[in-house]
Amino acid sequence: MRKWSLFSRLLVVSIFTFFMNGLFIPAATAAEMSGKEIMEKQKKLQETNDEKEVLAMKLIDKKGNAKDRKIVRYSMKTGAGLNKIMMIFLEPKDIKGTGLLTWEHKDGDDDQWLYLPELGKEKRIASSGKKNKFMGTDFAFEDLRPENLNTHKYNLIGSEQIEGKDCFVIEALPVGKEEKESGYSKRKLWIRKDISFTVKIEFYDKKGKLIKVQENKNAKNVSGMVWRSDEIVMKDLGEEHQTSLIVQSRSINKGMDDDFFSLRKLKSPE
Amino acid sequence: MTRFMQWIVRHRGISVIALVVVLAILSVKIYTIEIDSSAEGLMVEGDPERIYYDEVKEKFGSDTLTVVVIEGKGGNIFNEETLTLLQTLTDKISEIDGVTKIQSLTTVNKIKGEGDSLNTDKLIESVPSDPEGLRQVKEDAMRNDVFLKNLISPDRKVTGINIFTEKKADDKKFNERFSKEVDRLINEHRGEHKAYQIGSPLTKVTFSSYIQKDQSTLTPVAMAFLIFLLIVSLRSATVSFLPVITGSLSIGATIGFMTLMGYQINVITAIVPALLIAIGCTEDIHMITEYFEGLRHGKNKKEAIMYMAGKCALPITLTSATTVFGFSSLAFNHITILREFGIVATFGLAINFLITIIVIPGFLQLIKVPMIMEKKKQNPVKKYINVLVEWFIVLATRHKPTVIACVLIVLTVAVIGCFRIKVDTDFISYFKEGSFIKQRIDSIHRDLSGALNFNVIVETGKEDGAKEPEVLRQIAGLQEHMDSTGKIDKSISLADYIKVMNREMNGGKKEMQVVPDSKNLIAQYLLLMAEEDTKNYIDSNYSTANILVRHNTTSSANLTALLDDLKGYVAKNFSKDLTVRFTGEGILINNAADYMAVGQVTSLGTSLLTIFAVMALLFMSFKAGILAMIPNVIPIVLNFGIMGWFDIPLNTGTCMVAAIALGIAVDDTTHFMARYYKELRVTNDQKQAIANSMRGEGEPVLISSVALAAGFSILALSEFNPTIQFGLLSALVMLIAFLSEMLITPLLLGTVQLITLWDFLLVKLKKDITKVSPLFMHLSQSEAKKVVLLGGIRSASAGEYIIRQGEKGEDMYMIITGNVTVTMDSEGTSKELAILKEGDIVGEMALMGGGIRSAHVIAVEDTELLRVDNKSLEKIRRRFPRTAAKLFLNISRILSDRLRTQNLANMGSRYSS
Repeated sequence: MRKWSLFSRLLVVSIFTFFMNGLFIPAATAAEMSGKEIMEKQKKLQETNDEKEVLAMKLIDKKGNAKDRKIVRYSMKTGAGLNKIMMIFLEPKDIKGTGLLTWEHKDGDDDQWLYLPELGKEKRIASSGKKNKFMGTDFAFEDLRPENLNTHKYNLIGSEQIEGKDCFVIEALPVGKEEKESGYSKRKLWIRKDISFTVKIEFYDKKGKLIKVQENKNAKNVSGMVWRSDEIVMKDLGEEHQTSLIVQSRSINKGMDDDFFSLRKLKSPE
Repeated sequence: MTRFMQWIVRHRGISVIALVVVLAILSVKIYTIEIDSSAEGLMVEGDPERIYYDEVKEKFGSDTLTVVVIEGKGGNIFNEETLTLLQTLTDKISEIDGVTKIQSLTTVNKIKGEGDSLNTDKLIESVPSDPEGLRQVKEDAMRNDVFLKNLISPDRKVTGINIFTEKKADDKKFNERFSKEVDRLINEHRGEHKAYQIGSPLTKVTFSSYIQKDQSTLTPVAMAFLIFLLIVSLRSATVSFLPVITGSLSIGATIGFMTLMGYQINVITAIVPALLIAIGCTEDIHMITEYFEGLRHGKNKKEAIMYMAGKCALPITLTSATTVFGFSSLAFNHITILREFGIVATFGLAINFLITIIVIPGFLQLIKVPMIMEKKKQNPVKKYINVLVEWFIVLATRHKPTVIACVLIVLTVAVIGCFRIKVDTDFISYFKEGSFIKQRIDSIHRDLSGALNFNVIVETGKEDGAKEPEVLRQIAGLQEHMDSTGKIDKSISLADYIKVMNREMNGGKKEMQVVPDSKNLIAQYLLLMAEEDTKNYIDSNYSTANILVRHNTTSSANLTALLDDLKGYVAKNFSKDLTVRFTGEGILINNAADYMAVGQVTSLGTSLLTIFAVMALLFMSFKAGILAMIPNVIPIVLNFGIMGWFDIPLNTGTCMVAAIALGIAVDDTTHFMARYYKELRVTNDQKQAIANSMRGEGEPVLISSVALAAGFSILALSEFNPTIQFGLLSALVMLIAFLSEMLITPLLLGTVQLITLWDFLLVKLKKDITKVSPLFMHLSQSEAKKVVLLGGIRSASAGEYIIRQGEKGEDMYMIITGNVTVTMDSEGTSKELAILKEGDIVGEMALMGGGIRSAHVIAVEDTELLRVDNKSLEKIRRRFPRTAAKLFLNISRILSDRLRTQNLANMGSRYSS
C-alpha cells in the first residue's frame, strides 16, 4: 500500500506540476502586469493624503434642462489607510450648508452622516447599500469613493486607445460582501498606460447591462506623479440624465487634520 | 333622373367599365386597412387642451398606465414567493421596449427615520426569506402612505406594479405587443398566484380585437339576414344574390375609400359594412320588385328592365339622397371618429347607390328571366297588414282628436325625458358588463385604486415656486378634499413625500406628517429623495407640481361633476397666482361630451333643414316642407325621450340614431307624400287621397320599417355597448317612425290643405295664369284661384285621346303643359283643325251646348290639363256671380273666336272644292 501510495503521490504531483506549468507559464509571459498590479500601481501613484476641491455641478436631464449646484469636497487618508470624505453644498442658496460626512471602515460598513442646516440636526444615514444615488446626481455613493482594491477582483482584458492614448482595459468585479452590496455586476476601467490615470469607466448593472459611463476629461498633472481630471461627466444611459463636475479649485496635500472630518465641522465647516 | 337611369340601362357597357375603373382606383390600397384602437379619435379635434396635455406628458412623463395586480398567497403579499414574483415581474417588464417608468414595492425607496438615523435605501434590496426580514419589509412598506392603495392594498392582500409606457408615434402594434408580453410574463411566472394586468394598452387591444370580432359577426349576419329577407320577399333564389353582390362591392369600395383617406377602422366605422347591407338592400329590393312587376305585366326582359328604370329612378334617387344627407350631417362633427363615420357612411351610401343602379340592370340583363311565381296567392300576412292599415285609416281620419291627444301626451312625456339624457364619451363604458375588462376594472378599484387616472397641474410660474410651503399646503388641501369626496381612490403629490420625510426626520411622530414651514427645508428634503421617485410630481426647475389622481369614475357626467367640484374647490381655496389645470387622456375624451351634444344639435338641425328644402322643392310648397318634417321629428323626440327615461346615454353610438333615423324615415314620408300628391290629382278629394295613399304605401312602409328594424337589431350582437344601444334604439325608432308615418302624416295631410292646384299651376306655368290663358283674362288673382281650386288635373300621354268626337262630355280643359291636336272626322276622313298649346282651352263647346263632343282632342306629347266641369262652374255662378260673369264672358269670347276661324276655314274649303 505504501509503495503504491508513494508512487501515486509522485504521480499526482508530477501531473499537477505539468498542468500548472501549462497553465501559468503562458499567462505570465503574455502580460507584464496583472490587472491587480496595474491597479496597485495606480493607487500608489495617484493617492494623496488629503484634497480639497470646489466643484461646479451641472445636472442635465434628457430635455436639456440644467440645474447648477456648487459643492466643496474634502478628503483625506487616515493613518490606517482609510478615507474620510466631507461634501458640503455651497449653492444654490436653499440647500447651502447641506453636508455629507463619510468615514470609511475596513469591513465596508462605512459611517455616513447627513446634515440639513434647516433642520439643525445631523442624521446618520443607515445605509446597507452604497448604490443609492448621491443627492440627485448620477453618482452613486460608491462612485465617489476611492477604489477599494480589497473588495474587487481586477482582470486585464485588453488594451485600447482613447483619444490617442494607450490604455489598459481592466474589468473590476466586486467580490465577497461587496458583490452583494454594490449596485454593479462589473465595471470596466480604461487606465492610461503612461500616467496610470483612469480616463473612462463603464458601469454594468446586476443583469450585466451597461447603465452608466463616466469620463474623466482634461487630465492634468497636479503634483508629482498625481494626475487629476478637471471635468468629470457621468451619464446615466437609462435615465438619459447626466452630471458634470467641473473643478473650480483644488489643493492637494496641504495637511488636513483628522478632527476636521467631524460632525461639528459638518455643521459649521468654515 | 329617369332618363339617366334609362341611359345607364342602354349603355350598360360604358357604365360597367366606368364602375370597374372607379372600383379599381378605390381599391389600390385596400390591403393597407388597419384597425384603430387608439382613443385619440374619441377626442375633439383641435382641442387646445390636447396641446397642453402633450406638454404635460413631455414634462412629467407618459400617463399611459398599466397595472399588474398580484394577489398574495394566503391573503398576504408579504411572503417570499409573492415578493419574488413581484420582483421577477417588475424586472422582466421593465425590460420591455417602451416602458418609461415602472414602480412596485421592489423599485421604491423607503423613507424611514430610526432614532437619529435616516434610511432611504430600497424598500426591498433582496427578497428576505426569514420571517423577521419579511416582517421588516411589511412594516416599512405600510409606513409610507404614498405606497398605500397605490402599490399595496391596505389589507395587504394585493400588490400592484405600475407601468407607464409610451409608444412611438408610428408604432401601431405597440399596445398589442406590450400587453401580450406582459400576459406572457405573468403566465410564465405566476405559479399559483392570481395575477392580471389592466390598463390602457390592454383596453385598447381588447377594443380592437372586439372591433374585429364585430366585423366577423355583424357583416355575415347582416348578409344572411339580407338573403333571408330576399328569398322571403322576392321568392326567387336566382336574384337573391344580387343585393349581396352590390353590398359586397359597396363594402369593398368603402374600405378602399377609407384607405385612400388614411382612415382606420374604428369602433364606429366598423358598423358601416353592416349598415351598407341593411340600408343598401332596400334599393335593390325596390328595383327587383319593379322588374318582376314589369315581367308580370307581360313585358320581355329588356322591356321589364326599362320599366324598372322608369319606375324606380325618382323614388330611389330621392330616398338615397335623403339618407345620404342624413349621414352627411355627421361629417361636420368635431369628434374625429364621428366625423370620419359621417364621411365614410356618406361615401358608402352614395357609391352603393351608383353600384346598385349600374350593377342591377346589368346583371338582370345577363341572367335568364327568373322563374317567378304566378300571381301569388293572397298572402296571409298581407291580409293582416291590410287589416292593420284599414285600422290606421280609421284612426287617422275618424279619431283625429283622440290620436292628437295621445300623440301630445306621449310627446310631453318624451320631452321631459329629453332633459334627463346624460352625455357619455367614456371609453370603459364601451365594454359590456361582465366582460373581463370590466371585471378587472372593478376588482382593481376594489383592491387598490381605479385604473383610470388624470393629472392636476399646479403652475407657480416661477422657478422653485413649487417648493414653497404655501403651494404644497394648498396641494395637500386639494388632496384632502379629493379624499373627502369619496370618488377618488388615490392621489399622490410631492406634498405626500415631503410630509412623510418631515415625519421621519422628526422621530416618526404622526403629528409631524405635515408640510414644514421652511422652503429651504423642503429643498433639503428634496435633495435626499431619489429623483426617479419625485420627477413625476415636480418639474426640473421646480416651478410646476403635478398631482397624480387615480379614480374609477367611468361616466362622463359623473366625471364632469367631479371635476367641477374640484375646480370649485380650487377657485375658492387656491391663491390667485397659481394656475391649476386638469388634464389627461380621460379628461380629453370627456371634453368630447360637450361637443357631442352641440354636434348632435347641429347635425339634426342640418338634417331637418335639408329635408325641409328637399320636400319644399319636391312638392313646390313651403307647407309641404314643414309637414314632411313633423312626422320625422316625432320619432327623434321619442328617441331622446326613451334615452332619457331608460338611462341610455348619448354616446358615440347613440348620438347617431337620430340623424340616421331621420335620413331613413324621411324616405317613407317621401313615398307617402308623393303618393298622396298623385292621388289628390286624380281624385281631387283629400280624404279619399289619404285613404288611398295609406292603402298603397302602408304595406311597403311597414315591410321596409320592419326590415330595417330587424337589420339594426343585428347590431345587438356587437361586443360594444354603444353599438348595441345604437342598433336597438335605431330598430325601435324605425318602428316608431312607421307609426308616426301612418298616423301623423295622414292626420296632418287631412288637416292642412297641402298642395293646391293653384300652387301647382303657378309652378308649372311659371307665369301668371291670368296673362297666359284667355279663360282667366281680366280675372283677379283670387278670382282665378277660386276657379282653379274647383278644378282637377288630368294628364295624358302622347297619342292619348283626351276627348273623343261624338262622346258625351261635361267638362272643358285648359292646357297646362304640352300640345294637343284637334281633329274632326267627317265623311271618313280625318281633318286636323288646330294645334293648341299651353293656356289654350279645349272642350268648351260641349260645356256650353248639348254635351256632345264635336271633335277629337289628342295629346301630341305628354300633356297636363286643368279640368273644369259643369258642376264647378255652376258653383262659381251661384257663389261668386261677379267672377262667374267674367269667366263666362271669356268663354263666350273664346267660342266666338273659334266660330269665326271655323267659318273662315269652312268657307275656304267650300271655295276650294
